[in-house]
Amino acid sequence: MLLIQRIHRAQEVNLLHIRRRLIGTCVLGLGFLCSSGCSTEYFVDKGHVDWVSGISFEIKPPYLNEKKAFKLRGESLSPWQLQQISEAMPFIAAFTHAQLGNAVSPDVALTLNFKGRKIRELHNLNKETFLAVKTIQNWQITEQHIQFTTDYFYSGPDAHFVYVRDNYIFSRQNQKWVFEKHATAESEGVLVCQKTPKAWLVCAPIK
Amino acid sequence: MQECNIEFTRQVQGGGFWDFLKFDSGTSNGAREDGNALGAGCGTVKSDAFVPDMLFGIDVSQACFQHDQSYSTCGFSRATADNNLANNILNDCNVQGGNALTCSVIAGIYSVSVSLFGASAFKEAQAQSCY
Repeated sequence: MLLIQRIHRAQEVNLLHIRRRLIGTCVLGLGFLCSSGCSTEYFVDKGHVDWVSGISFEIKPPYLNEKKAFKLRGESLSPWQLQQISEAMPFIAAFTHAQLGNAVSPDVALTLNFKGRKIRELHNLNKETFLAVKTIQNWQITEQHIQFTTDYFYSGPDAHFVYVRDNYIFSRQNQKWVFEKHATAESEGVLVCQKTPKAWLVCAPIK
Repeated sequence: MQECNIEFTRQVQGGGFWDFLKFDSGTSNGAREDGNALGAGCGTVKSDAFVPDMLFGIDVSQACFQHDQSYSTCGFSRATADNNLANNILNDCNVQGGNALTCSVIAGIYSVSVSLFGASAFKEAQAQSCY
């Protein structure tokens, strides 16, 4: 009887040690994650250079998030086409930033002085509505022109995300890429989103 | 402009029980599966591979990307950005067929995460955007 009691006691002490070690490890791990060095390393985005088919893309500020939205993979783009996009990226990113209009810096505000469609006006969005970019894709590239579509999204009246698309053509002028016109007379408008078999949301124009 | 009923923006609900088991960062072989650059979703270029864009079958990548863009908007309040993240996850989760408990858990996880790790990210994003 005494032996059984001692075994039980030993097991309890063991369990206590294991629990202490586990809690200690968790606290240390959390402390490590919370340490400013680690959180800066993994959760602060200072930009990077992305390489696609041997072409470099400067995914760096300014307009870091607009540049992240460029869909560069999965569109069967040749290295030459990717090079064209790489050169146009800063101009398209600045233009997209101006279209979002959440907090437009003075140097970019001029970009909006064009005779194209303004996404906020098209969808009657007030200043308080935060407009975000989802993806810039459907690239069509020639020597002098780059055509693409931009998907935007915002929180609608019922607080659900509303996804909208418009299309643009940029042309090369004096070493710069500038907005020339829209590819179609009307924008694609509101998108309908569906879950893929892998449970991702994919949005496309209403047919 | 094309006339569209707002109802068309409703997302189709998920695939049931098995979707509940889906966790995914949306990356493979060091690149995002949606073709965008690393960091265009939940996490940054260095953490995109281990920060999930999908929890319990709910795609939260757009709520995360909007949160990133809020941080990068000069003068935007961090508290508002973090509150919007939680609300957007709750709403988006609901639209995708998540139940109240699941949606609250996901929103809670990301809220705590941005509270713990968001300070330096916010500071850097503001410095980049307010030039």
